[in-house]
Amino acid sequence: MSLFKELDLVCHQLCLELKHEYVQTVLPKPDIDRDKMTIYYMLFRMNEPQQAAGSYTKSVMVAEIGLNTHETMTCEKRTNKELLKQRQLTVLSGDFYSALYYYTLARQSNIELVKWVAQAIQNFNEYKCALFFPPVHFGWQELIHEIKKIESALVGKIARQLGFTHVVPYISDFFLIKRLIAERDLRNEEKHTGYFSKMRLDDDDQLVEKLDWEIKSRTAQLSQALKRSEDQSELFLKLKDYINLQLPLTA
Amino acid sequence: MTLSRIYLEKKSKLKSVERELESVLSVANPLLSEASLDLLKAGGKRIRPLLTLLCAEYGDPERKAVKDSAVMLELIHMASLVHDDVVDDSDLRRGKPTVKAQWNNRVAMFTGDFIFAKAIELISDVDNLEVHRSISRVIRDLSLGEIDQIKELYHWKQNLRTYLRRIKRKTALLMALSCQLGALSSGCSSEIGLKLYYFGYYLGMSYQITDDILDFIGTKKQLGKPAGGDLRNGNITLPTYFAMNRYGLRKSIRKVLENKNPSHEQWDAVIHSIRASGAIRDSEQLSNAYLQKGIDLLEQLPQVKVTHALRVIADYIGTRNY
Repeated sequence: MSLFKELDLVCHQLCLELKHEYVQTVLPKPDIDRDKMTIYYMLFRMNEPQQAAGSYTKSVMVAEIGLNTHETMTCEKRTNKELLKQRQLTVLSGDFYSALYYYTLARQSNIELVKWVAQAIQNFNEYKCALFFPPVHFGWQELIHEIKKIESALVGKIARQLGFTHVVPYISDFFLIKRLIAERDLRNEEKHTGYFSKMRLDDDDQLVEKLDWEIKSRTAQLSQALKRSEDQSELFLKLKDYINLQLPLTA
Repeated sequence: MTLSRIYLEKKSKLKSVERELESVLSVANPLLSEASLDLLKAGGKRIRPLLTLLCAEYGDPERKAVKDSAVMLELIHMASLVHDDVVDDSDLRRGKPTVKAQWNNRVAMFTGDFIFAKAIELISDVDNLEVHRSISRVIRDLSLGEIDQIKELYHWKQNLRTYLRRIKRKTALLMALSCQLGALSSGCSSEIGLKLYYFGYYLGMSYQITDDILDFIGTKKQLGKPAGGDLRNGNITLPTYFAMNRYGLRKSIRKVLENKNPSHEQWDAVIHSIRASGAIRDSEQLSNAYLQKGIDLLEQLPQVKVTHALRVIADYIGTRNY
Protein backbone atom coordinates (compact mmCIF):
# COMPACT_ATOMS: atom_id res chain seq x y z
CA MET A 1 0.00 0.00 0.00
CA SER A 2 1.35 3.48 -0.83
CA LEU A 3 2.05 6.03 1.90
CA PHE A 4 -0.93 8.12 0.87
CA LYS A 5 -3.30 5.15 0.91
CA GLU A 6 -2.02 4.18 4.35
CA LEU A 7 -2.63 7.77 5.45
CA ASP A 8 -6.16 7.78 4.07
CA LEU A 9 -6.90 4.79 6.24
CA VAL A 10 -5.40 6.48 9.34
CA CYS A 11 -7.41 9.63 8.58
CA HIS A 12 -10.63 7.66 8.23
CA GLN A 13 -10.03 5.87 11.55
CA LEU A 14 -9.14 9.16 13.21
CA CYS A 15 -12.45 10.69 12.08
CA LEU A 16 -14.30 7.75 13.60
CA GLU A 17 -12.40 8.12 16.84
CA LEU A 18 -13.20 11.83 17.10
CA LYS A 19 -16.86 11.34 16.37
CA HIS A 20 -19.24 12.39 19.08
CA GLU A 21 -22.76 12.69 17.73
CA TYR A 22 -24.04 15.32 20.12
CA VAL A 23 -20.91 17.51 20.05
CA GLN A 24 -21.08 17.58 16.27
CA THR A 25 -24.60 18.95 16.34
CA VAL A 26 -23.26 22.05 18.11
CA LEU A 27 -19.62 22.44 17.06
CA PRO A 28 -18.01 22.07 13.63
CA LYS A 29 -16.08 18.86 12.97
CA PRO A 30 -12.52 19.18 14.28
CA ASP A 31 -9.94 20.14 11.66
CA ILE A 32 -7.39 17.46 10.86
CA ASP A 33 -4.00 18.87 9.88
CA ARG A 34 -3.07 16.41 7.15
CA ASP A 35 0.55 17.64 7.06
CA LYS A 36 1.00 17.01 10.74
CA MET A 37 -0.62 13.61 10.44
CA THR A 38 1.69 12.69 7.55
CA ILE A 39 4.82 13.73 9.40
CA TYR A 40 3.82 11.87 12.56
CA TYR A 41 3.14 8.80 10.47
CA MET A 42 6.52 9.06 8.73
CA LEU A 43 8.24 9.35 12.12
CA PHE A 44 6.47 6.35 13.65
CA ARG A 45 6.69 4.28 10.46
CA MET A 46 10.52 4.33 10.61
CA ASN A 47 10.49 1.80 13.45
CA GLU A 48 6.97 0.41 13.54
CA PRO A 49 4.75 -1.74 11.33
CA GLN A 50 1.90 -0.05 9.50
CA GLN A 51 -0.81 -0.79 12.06
CA ALA A 52 1.12 0.37 15.13
CA ALA A 53 2.39 3.49 13.33
CA GLY A 54 -1.19 4.28 12.32
CA SER A 55 -2.50 3.80 15.86
CA TYR A 56 0.20 5.98 17.43
CA THR A 57 -0.38 8.65 14.80
CA LYS A 58 -4.10 8.65 15.59
CA SER A 59 -3.44 9.04 19.32
CA VAL A 60 -1.04 11.98 19.02
CA MET A 61 -3.32 13.62 16.47
CA VAL A 62 -6.18 13.35 18.96
CA ALA A 63 -3.98 15.13 21.53
CA GLU A 64 -3.15 17.85 18.96
CA ILE A 65 -6.84 18.26 18.16
CA GLY A 66 -7.66 18.56 21.88
CA LEU A 67 -5.26 21.49 22.16
CA ASN A 68 -6.51 23.05 18.92
CA THR A 69 -10.09 22.81 20.18
CA HIS A 70 -9.20 24.80 23.29
CA GLU A 71 -7.40 27.28 21.01
CA THR A 72 -10.76 28.43 19.75
CA MET A 73 -11.88 29.48 23.23
CA THR A 74 -13.34 32.98 23.34
CA CYS A 75 -13.19 35.36 26.28
CA GLU A 76 -16.03 37.85 25.93
CA LYS A 77 -19.16 37.65 28.10
CA ARG A 78 -21.95 35.57 26.56
CA THR A 79 -25.61 35.53 27.45
CA ASN A 80 -27.09 33.87 24.37
CA LYS A 81 -27.86 30.25 25.32
CA GLU A 82 -26.66 28.73 22.04
CA LEU A 83 -23.36 30.64 22.09
CA LEU A 84 -22.93 29.67 25.71
CA LYS A 85 -23.48 26.02 24.82
CA GLN A 86 -20.87 26.29 22.07
CA ARG A 87 -18.36 27.61 24.56
CA GLN A 88 -19.19 24.91 27.10
CA LEU A 89 -18.74 22.19 24.51
CA THR A 90 -15.51 23.75 23.29
CA VAL A 91 -14.11 23.20 26.78
CA LEU A 92 -15.57 19.75 27.23
CA SER A 93 -14.85 18.29 23.80
CA GLY A 94 -11.23 19.49 24.11
CA ASP A 95 -11.07 17.70 27.45
CA PHE A 96 -12.60 14.61 25.87
CA TYR A 97 -9.94 14.52 23.13
CA SER A 98 -7.19 15.07 25.73
CA ALA A 99 -8.52 12.10 27.67
CA LEU A 100 -8.83 10.01 24.55
CA TYR A 101 -5.13 10.02 23.66
CA TYR A 102 -4.28 8.51 27.05
CA TYR A 103 -7.14 6.03 26.77
CA THR A 104 -6.10 4.77 23.32
CA LEU A 105 -2.39 4.62 24.13
CA ALA A 106 -3.05 2.76 27.40
CA ARG A 107 -4.98 0.18 25.39
CA GLN A 108 -1.99 -0.14 23.06
CA SER A 109 0.28 -0.53 26.13
CA ASN A 110 2.42 2.43 25.04
CA ILE A 111 2.81 4.38 28.27
CA GLU A 112 6.15 5.79 27.19
CA LEU A 113 4.41 7.68 24.39
CA VAL A 114 1.78 8.87 26.89
CA LYS A 115 4.58 10.42 28.92
CA TRP A 116 6.12 12.20 25.92
CA VAL A 117 2.80 13.63 24.85
CA ALA A 118 1.99 14.76 28.41
CA GLN A 119 5.37 16.49 28.69
CA ALA A 120 4.92 18.16 25.30
CA ILE A 121 1.45 19.42 26.28
CA GLN A 122 2.92 21.04 29.38
CA ASN A 123 5.55 22.79 27.26
CA PHE A 124 2.90 23.86 24.77
CA ASN A 125 0.86 25.52 27.51
CA GLU A 126 3.89 27.18 29.04
CA TYR A 127 4.84 28.61 25.63
CA LYS A 128 1.29 29.80 25.10
CA CYS A 129 1.20 31.61 28.43
CA ALA A 130 4.57 33.19 27.64
CA LEU A 131 3.20 34.38 24.30
CA PHE A 132 -0.05 35.83 25.59
CA PHE A 133 1.38 37.24 28.81
CA PRO A 134 5.03 37.98 28.04
CA PRO A 135 7.15 39.20 30.95
CA VAL A 136 8.72 41.77 28.58
CA HIS A 137 7.53 43.20 25.28
CA PHE A 138 8.41 40.88 22.38
CA GLY A 139 10.12 42.19 19.28
CA TRP A 140 9.07 40.75 15.90
CA GLN A 141 11.72 38.03 15.72
CA GLU A 142 11.20 37.01 19.33
CA LEU A 143 7.50 36.66 18.63
CA ILE A 144 8.17 34.52 15.56
CA HIS A 145 10.50 32.38 17.64
CA GLU A 146 7.83 31.85 20.32
CA ILE A 147 5.23 30.90 17.69
CA LYS A 148 7.66 28.41 16.20
CA LYS A 149 8.08 26.73 19.59
CA ILE A 150 4.31 26.46 20.00
CA GLU A 151 3.64 25.09 16.52
CA SER A 152 6.08 22.21 16.84
CA ALA A 153 5.86 21.57 20.59
CA LEU A 154 4.33 18.12 20.18
CA VAL A 155 5.73 16.96 16.87
CA GLY A 156 9.23 18.19 17.76
CA LYS A 157 9.13 16.36 21.08
CA ILE A 158 8.03 13.10 19.45
CA ALA A 159 10.71 13.38 16.75
CA ARG A 160 13.42 13.97 19.37
CA GLN A 161 12.23 11.13 21.58
CA LEU A 162 12.18 8.74 18.63
CA GLY A 163 15.80 9.67 17.92
CA PHE A 164 15.20 11.93 14.91
CA THR A 165 16.50 15.20 16.34
CA HIS A 166 18.23 15.97 13.02
CA VAL A 167 14.90 16.56 11.26
CA VAL A 168 13.35 18.79 13.96
CA PRO A 169 14.60 22.14 12.53
CA TYR A 170 13.01 21.41 9.15
CA ILE A 171 9.72 20.26 10.69
CA SER A 172 9.63 23.31 12.98
CA ASP A 173 10.24 25.71 10.09
CA PHE A 174 7.59 24.02 7.98
CA PHE A 175 4.90 24.30 10.66
CA LEU A 176 5.92 27.86 11.45
CA ILE A 177 5.41 28.81 7.80
CA LYS A 178 2.02 27.12 7.83
CA ARG A 179 0.97 29.09 10.89
CA LEU A 180 2.19 32.39 9.44
CA ILE A 181 0.17 31.73 6.28
CA ALA A 182 -2.90 30.91 8.35
CA GLU A 183 -2.43 34.14 10.34
CA ARG A 184 -2.06 36.18 7.15
CA ASP A 185 -5.19 34.63 5.66
CA LEU A 186 -7.14 35.27 8.84
CA ARG A 187 -6.01 38.91 8.79
CA ASN A 188 -7.18 39.21 5.21
CA GLU A 189 -10.57 37.95 6.38
CA GLU A 190 -10.37 40.47 9.25
CA LYS A 191 -10.23 37.70 11.86
CA HIS A 192 -7.47 37.01 14.34
CA THR A 193 -6.22 34.40 16.78
CA GLY A 194 -4.53 36.82 19.12
CA TYR A 195 -1.00 35.71 18.23
CA PHE A 196 -0.09 39.12 16.86
CA SER A 197 -2.47 41.24 18.92
CA LYS A 198 0.31 42.54 21.13
CA MET A 199 2.38 43.82 18.22
CA ARG A 200 2.47 47.58 18.24
CA LEU A 201 1.91 48.18 14.56
CA ASP A 202 0.30 51.23 13.01
CA ASP A 203 -2.26 49.29 11.03
CA ASP A 204 -3.28 45.81 9.89
CA ASP A 205 -1.83 46.30 6.39
CA GLN A 206 1.58 46.64 7.95
CA LEU A 207 1.12 43.30 9.70
CA VAL A 208 0.03 41.55 6.51
CA GLU A 209 3.10 42.97 4.73
CA LYS A 210 5.39 41.82 7.51
CA LEU A 211 3.81 38.36 7.48
CA ASP A 212 4.16 38.18 3.71
CA TRP A 213 7.82 39.03 3.92
CA GLU A 214 8.42 36.53 6.72
CA ILE A 215 6.63 33.75 4.83
CA LYS A 216 8.61 34.36 1.63
CA SER A 217 11.93 34.63 3.37
CA ARG A 218 11.39 31.57 5.58
CA THR A 219 10.10 29.49 2.67
CA ALA A 220 13.21 30.34 0.65
CA GLN A 221 15.46 29.58 3.63
CA LEU A 222 13.80 26.23 4.25
CA SER A 223 14.05 25.22 0.58
CA GLN A 224 17.73 26.13 0.58
CA ALA A 225 18.39 24.28 3.83
CA LEU A 226 16.73 21.13 2.49
CA LYS A 227 18.71 21.38 -0.72
CA ARG A 228 22.05 21.97 0.98
CA SER A 229 21.72 19.29 3.62
CA GLU A 230 24.01 16.30 3.27
CA ASP A 231 21.72 14.13 5.37
CA GLN A 232 21.05 10.95 3.41
CA SER A 233 18.92 9.18 6.00
CA GLU A 234 15.72 7.56 4.77
CA LEU A 235 13.55 9.76 6.98
CA PHE A 236 15.21 12.98 5.88
CA LEU A 237 14.85 12.12 2.20
CA LYS A 238 11.17 11.29 2.66
CA LEU A 239 10.54 14.47 4.61
CA LYS A 240 12.48 16.53 2.09
CA ASP A 241 10.31 15.21 -0.75
CA TYR A 242 7.14 15.82 1.23
CA ILE A 243 8.02 19.34 2.39
CA ASN A 244 9.24 20.33 -1.08
CA LEU A 245 5.95 19.11 -2.49
CA GLN A 246 3.85 20.97 0.09
CA LEU A 247 5.78 24.24 0.31
CA PRO A 248 4.61 25.74 -3.01
CA LEU A 249 1.06 24.74 -2.09
CA THR A 250 1.19 26.38 1.32
CA ALA A 251 3.18 29.51 0.33
CA MET B 1 -13.08 6.95 65.52
CA THR B 2 -14.29 10.20 63.94
CA LEU B 3 -13.66 11.86 60.60
CA SER B 4 -11.43 14.49 62.20
CA ARG B 5 -9.46 11.70 63.88
CA ILE B 6 -8.94 10.06 60.45
CA TYR B 7 -7.72 13.35 58.99
CA LEU B 8 -5.44 13.79 62.00
CA GLU B 9 -3.93 10.33 61.61
CA LYS B 10 -3.31 10.96 57.93
CA LYS B 11 -2.15 14.54 58.51
CA SER B 12 1.53 13.97 57.77
CA LYS B 13 0.79 11.94 54.62
CA LEU B 14 -1.75 14.48 53.40
CA LYS B 15 0.81 17.22 54.05
CA SER B 16 3.33 15.27 52.03
CA VAL B 17 0.77 15.05 49.18
CA GLU B 18 0.22 18.80 49.51
CA ARG B 19 3.96 19.49 49.31
CA GLU B 20 4.25 17.31 46.24
CA LEU B 21 1.33 19.12 44.63
CA GLU B 22 3.05 22.43 45.33
CA SER B 23 6.30 21.14 43.92
CA VAL B 24 4.85 19.82 40.65
CA LEU B 25 2.85 22.99 40.11
CA SER B 26 5.78 25.35 40.71
CA VAL B 27 6.93 25.84 37.15
CA ALA B 28 9.11 28.36 35.37
CA ASN B 29 6.23 30.25 33.78
CA PRO B 30 5.08 32.73 36.45
CA LEU B 31 1.50 32.93 35.21
CA LEU B 32 0.90 29.18 35.08
CA SER B 33 2.59 28.74 38.41
CA GLU B 34 0.51 31.47 40.07
CA ALA B 35 -2.79 30.29 38.58
CA SER B 36 -2.16 26.67 39.62
CA LEU B 37 -0.83 27.45 43.09
CA ASP B 38 -3.67 29.86 43.87
CA LEU B 39 -6.08 27.06 43.16
CA LEU B 40 -4.10 24.71 45.35
CA LYS B 41 -4.01 27.21 48.22
CA ALA B 42 -7.79 27.67 48.02
CA GLY B 43 -7.86 24.23 49.68
CA GLY B 44 -10.63 21.66 49.68
CA LYS B 45 -11.55 18.49 51.55
CA ARG B 46 -8.95 16.40 49.67
CA ILE B 47 -11.37 13.50 49.94
CA ARG B 48 -9.88 11.69 46.93
CA PRO B 49 -6.26 11.64 48.16
CA LEU B 50 -7.55 10.67 51.60
CA LEU B 51 -9.40 7.68 50.17
CA THR B 52 -6.29 6.63 48.23
CA LEU B 53 -4.07 6.86 51.30
CA LEU B 54 -6.58 4.94 53.40
CA CYS B 55 -7.13 2.16 50.86
CA ALA B 56 -3.36 1.78 50.51
CA GLU B 57 -3.38 0.52 54.11
CA TYR B 58 -4.60 -2.83 52.78
CA GLY B 59 -1.17 -3.19 51.13
CA ASP B 60 2.15 -1.41 51.57
CA PRO B 61 1.24 2.27 52.07
CA GLU B 62 4.89 3.38 51.94
CA ARG B 63 5.29 2.65 48.22
CA LYS B 64 6.07 5.72 46.10
CA ALA B 65 3.24 4.84 43.70
CA VAL B 66 0.71 5.44 46.51
CA LYS B 67 1.68 9.10 46.91
CA ASP B 68 1.96 9.54 43.14
CA SER B 69 -1.58 8.19 42.74
CA ALA B 70 -2.96 10.49 45.43
CA VAL B 71 -1.24 13.52 43.86
CA MET B 72 -2.37 12.54 40.37
CA LEU B 73 -6.01 12.22 41.46
CA GLU B 74 -6.02 15.63 43.09
CA LEU B 75 -4.39 17.15 39.98
CA ILE B 76 -7.11 15.67 37.76
CA HIS B 77 -9.75 17.04 40.12
CA MET B 78 -8.07 20.47 40.10
CA ALA B 79 -7.79 20.55 36.30
CA SER B 80 -11.48 19.73 35.97
CA LEU B 81 -12.39 22.52 38.43
CA VAL B 82 -10.52 25.13 36.37
CA HIS B 83 -12.38 24.10 33.22
CA ASP B 84 -15.72 23.67 35.06
CA ASP B 85 -15.54 27.32 36.09
CA VAL B 86 -15.45 28.28 32.40
CA VAL B 87 -18.34 25.91 31.64
CA ASP B 88 -20.40 27.30 34.55
CA ASP B 89 -19.16 30.87 34.03
CA SER B 90 -18.24 31.03 37.73
CA ASP B 91 -16.20 33.90 39.09
CA LEU B 92 -15.74 32.55 42.60
CA ARG B 93 -14.64 29.21 43.99
CA ARG B 94 -14.30 28.66 47.72
CA GLY B 95 -14.65 32.43 48.10
CA LYS B 96 -11.68 33.21 45.86
CA PRO B 97 -11.62 34.45 42.24
CA THR B 98 -11.47 31.62 39.71
CA VAL B 99 -8.66 31.43 37.15
CA LYS B 100 -11.03 32.55 34.41
CA ALA B 101 -12.17 35.53 36.51
CA GLN B 102 -8.67 36.56 37.53
CA TRP B 103 -7.21 36.22 34.01
CA ASN B 104 -9.54 34.98 31.28
CA ASN B 105 -11.04 31.86 29.68
CA ARG B 106 -7.94 31.20 27.59
CA VAL B 107 -5.65 31.18 30.61
CA ALA B 108 -8.12 28.83 32.28
CA MET B 109 -7.78 26.50 29.29
CA PHE B 110 -3.96 26.65 29.42
CA THR B 111 -3.93 26.08 33.19
CA GLY B 112 -6.38 23.18 33.14
CA ASP B 113 -4.61 21.48 30.22
CA PHE B 114 -1.25 22.01 31.90
CA ILE B 115 -2.37 20.53 35.24
CA PHE B 116 -4.05 17.61 33.49
CA ALA B 117 -0.90 16.85 31.49
CA LYS B 118 1.14 17.08 34.69
CA ALA B 119 -1.13 14.48 36.29
CA ILE B 120 -0.69 12.10 33.37
CA GLU B 121 3.07 12.59 33.27
CA LEU B 122 3.28 11.82 36.97
CA ILE B 123 1.32 8.59 36.74
CA SER B 124 3.10 7.46 33.57
CA ASP B 125 5.99 6.31 35.80
CA VAL B 126 3.75 3.63 37.29
CA ASP B 127 4.60 0.36 35.63
CA ASN B 128 1.19 -1.29 35.74
CA LEU B 129 -1.01 -1.48 32.65
CA GLU B 130 -4.10 -2.34 34.67
CA VAL B 131 -3.68 0.95 36.53
CA HIS B 132 -3.32 2.94 33.28
CA ARG B 133 -6.30 1.29 31.65
CA SER B 134 -8.42 2.01 34.68
CA ILE B 135 -7.33 5.66 35.05
CA SER B 136 -7.63 6.48 31.37
CA ARG B 137 -11.12 4.95 31.14
CA VAL B 138 -12.29 6.96 34.13
CA ILE B 139 -10.83 10.20 32.75
CA ARG B 140 -12.49 9.60 29.40
CA ASP B 141 -15.83 8.82 31.06
CA LEU B 142 -15.52 11.92 33.24
CA SER B 143 -15.39 14.14 30.18
CA LEU B 144 -18.23 12.21 28.53
CA GLY B 145 -20.30 12.74 31.68
CA GLU B 146 -19.71 16.48 31.51
CA ILE B 147 -20.78 16.53 27.86
CA ASP B 148 -23.91 14.54 28.77
CA GLN B 149 -24.76 17.11 31.40
CA ILE B 150 -24.80 19.86 28.76
CA LYS B 151 -26.74 17.66 26.36
CA GLU B 152 -29.43 16.92 28.95
CA LEU B 153 -29.91 20.49 30.20
CA TYR B 154 -33.61 21.45 30.27
CA HIS B 155 -34.57 17.96 29.01
CA TRP B 156 -37.43 17.32 31.37
CA LYS B 157 -38.17 13.97 29.72
CA GLN B 158 -34.94 12.32 30.89
CA ASN B 159 -35.28 9.16 32.94
CA LEU B 160 -33.71 7.99 36.18
CA ARG B 161 -31.14 5.91 34.32
CA THR B 162 -29.85 8.98 32.47
CA TYR B 163 -29.40 10.84 35.74
CA LEU B 164 -27.63 7.93 37.41
CA ARG B 165 -25.26 7.44 34.47
CA ARG B 166 -24.45 11.14 34.54
CA ILE B 167 -23.57 11.25 38.25
CA LYS B 168 -21.66 8.01 37.93
CA ARG B 169 -19.42 9.63 35.33
CA LYS B 170 -19.34 13.01 36.96
CA THR B 171 -18.46 11.98 40.52
CA ALA B 172 -18.63 8.30 41.39
CA LEU B 173 -15.99 7.03 38.98
CA LEU B 174 -13.26 9.30 40.33
CA MET B 175 -14.06 8.22 43.90
CA ALA B 176 -14.07 4.59 42.78
CA LEU B 177 -10.70 5.13 41.11
CA SER B 178 -9.30 6.85 44.23
CA CYS B 179 -10.08 3.74 46.28
CA GLN B 180 -8.96 1.24 43.65
CA LEU B 181 -5.67 3.06 43.02
CA GLY B 182 -4.91 3.08 46.73
CA ALA B 183 -5.16 -0.70 46.66
CA LEU B 184 -3.35 -1.36 43.38
CA SER B 185 -0.52 1.11 43.97
CA SER B 186 0.19 -0.44 47.37
CA GLY B 187 0.46 -3.91 45.89
CA CYS B 188 -2.95 -5.36 46.85
CA SER B 189 -4.60 -8.03 44.74
CA SER B 190 -6.94 -7.06 41.88
CA GLU B 191 -9.75 -8.65 43.90
CA ILE B 192 -9.33 -6.24 46.81
CA GLY B 193 -8.84 -3.44 44.29
CA LEU B 194 -12.18 -4.27 42.69
CA LYS B 195 -14.04 -4.40 45.99
CA LEU B 196 -12.62 -1.02 46.95
CA TYR B 197 -13.49 0.31 43.47
CA TYR B 198 -17.14 -0.56 44.08
CA PHE B 199 -17.01 0.80 47.61
CA GLY B 200 -15.77 4.13 46.18
CA TYR B 201 -18.37 3.96 43.43
CA TYR B 202 -21.31 3.56 45.84
CA LEU B 203 -19.84 6.24 48.08
CA GLY B 204 -19.54 8.58 45.10
CA MET B 205 -23.12 7.96 43.95
CA SER B 206 -24.40 8.71 47.43
CA TYR B 207 -22.11 11.76 47.71
CA GLN B 208 -23.44 13.30 44.48
CA ILE B 209 -27.09 12.60 45.33
CA THR B 210 -26.51 14.30 48.69
CA ASP B 211 -24.92 17.26 46.85
CA ASP B 212 -27.97 17.47 44.63
CA ILE B 213 -30.27 17.38 47.67
CA LEU B 214 -28.25 20.04 49.47
CA ASP B 215 -28.60 22.26 46.44
CA PHE B 216 -32.34 22.33 47.17
CA ILE B 217 -32.37 22.45 50.96
CA GLY B 218 -29.21 24.41 51.73
CA THR B 219 -29.35 28.06 52.70
CA LYS B 220 -27.91 30.80 50.49
CA LYS B 221 -25.14 31.22 53.07
CA GLN B 222 -24.24 27.50 53.03
CA LEU B 223 -24.39 27.22 49.25
CA GLY B 224 -22.91 30.60 48.35
CA LYS B 225 -25.78 30.96 45.81
CA PRO B 226 -29.59 30.77 45.91
CA ALA B 227 -31.09 27.33 46.54
CA GLY B 228 -32.12 25.32 43.49
CA GLY B 229 -29.19 26.61 41.45
CA ASP B 230 -28.95 23.36 39.49
CA LEU B 231 -32.54 23.55 38.32
CA ARG B 232 -32.28 27.26 37.57
CA ASN B 233 -29.42 26.33 35.22
CA GLY B 234 -31.54 23.63 33.59
CA ASN B 235 -29.79 20.76 35.33
CA ILE B 236 -32.38 18.15 36.27
CA THR B 237 -31.18 16.31 39.34
CA LEU B 238 -32.77 13.57 41.43
CA PRO B 239 -35.14 15.70 43.58
CA THR B 240 -36.56 17.30 40.42
CA TYR B 241 -36.88 13.91 38.75
CA PHE B 242 -38.80 12.47 41.71
CA ALA B 243 -40.97 15.57 42.00
CA MET B 244 -41.87 15.33 38.33
CA ASN B 245 -43.28 11.89 38.95
CA ARG B 246 -45.85 13.38 41.31
CA TYR B 247 -49.30 14.32 40.15
CA GLY B 248 -49.60 17.99 39.31
CA LEU B 249 -45.97 18.89 39.72
CA ARG B 250 -44.75 17.61 36.38
CA LYS B 251 -46.74 20.21 34.51
CA SER B 252 -45.60 23.19 36.59
CA ILE B 253 -41.91 22.16 36.49
CA ARG B 254 -42.10 21.56 32.77
CA LYS B 255 -43.73 24.94 32.23
CA VAL B 256 -40.86 26.76 33.94
CA LEU B 257 -38.20 24.67 32.17
CA GLU B 258 -39.75 25.39 28.80
CA ASN B 259 -40.18 29.08 29.53
CA LYS B 260 -37.38 31.01 27.80
CA ASN B 261 -37.13 33.62 30.51
CA PRO B 262 -38.80 32.57 33.78
CA SER B 263 -38.94 35.11 36.60
CA HIS B 264 -37.25 34.62 39.99
CA GLU B 265 -40.69 34.20 41.53
CA GLN B 266 -41.55 31.36 39.14
CA TRP B 267 -38.31 29.58 39.97
CA ASP B 268 -38.79 30.10 43.71
CA ALA B 269 -42.32 28.69 43.53
CA VAL B 270 -41.20 25.56 41.66
CA ILE B 271 -38.26 25.00 44.00
CA HIS B 272 -40.54 25.38 46.99
CA SER B 273 -42.99 22.84 45.56
CA ILE B 274 -40.18 20.34 44.92
CA ARG B 275 -39.01 20.71 48.52
CA ALA B 276 -42.53 20.20 49.83
CA SER B 277 -43.31 17.25 47.56
CA GLY B 278 -41.50 14.47 49.39
CA ALA B 279 -38.92 14.25 46.57
CA ILE B 280 -36.14 15.16 48.99
CA ARG B 281 -37.06 12.21 51.21
CA ASP B 282 -37.12 9.84 48.23
CA SER B 283 -33.73 11.12 47.10
CA GLU B 284 -32.31 10.59 50.57
CA GLN B 285 -33.58 7.03 50.50
CA LEU B 286 -31.77 6.33 47.25
CA SER B 287 -28.62 7.97 48.55
CA ASN B 288 -28.79 5.80 51.67
CA ALA B 289 -29.37 2.68 49.57
CA TYR B 290 -26.13 3.33 47.67
CA LEU B 291 -24.32 4.00 50.90
CA GLN B 292 -25.60 0.77 52.38
CA LYS B 293 -24.28 -1.16 49.38
CA GLY B 294 -20.86 0.37 50.02
CA ILE B 295 -21.04 -0.48 53.72
CA ASP B 296 -22.04 -4.07 52.89
CA LEU B 297 -18.94 -4.38 50.72
CA LEU B 298 -16.75 -3.34 53.64
CA GLU B 299 -17.82 -6.54 55.38
CA GLN B 300 -16.13 -8.55 52.64
CA LEU B 301 -12.79 -6.82 53.28
CA PRO B 302 -10.27 -7.73 56.00
CA GLN B 303 -11.62 -6.39 59.30
CA VAL B 304 -8.70 -4.13 60.10
CA LYS B 305 -8.46 -0.56 61.38
CA VAL B 306 -8.75 1.01 57.94
CA THR B 307 -12.03 -0.81 57.24
CA HIS B 308 -13.45 0.95 60.28
CA ALA B 309 -12.10 4.28 59.01
CA LEU B 310 -13.83 3.73 55.64
CA ARG B 311 -17.05 3.04 57.52
CA VAL B 312 -16.67 6.36 59.33
CA ILE B 313 -16.25 8.13 55.98
CA ALA B 314 -19.37 6.40 54.65
CA ASP B 315 -21.31 7.51 57.73
CA TYR B 316 -20.07 11.08 57.27
CA ILE B 317 -21.26 11.09 53.67
CA GLY B 318 -24.65 9.84 54.78
CA THR B 319 -25.10 12.59 57.32
CA ARG B 320 -23.28 15.58 55.88
CA ASN B 321 -25.32 18.73 55.60
CA TYR B 322 -22.99 21.12 53.78
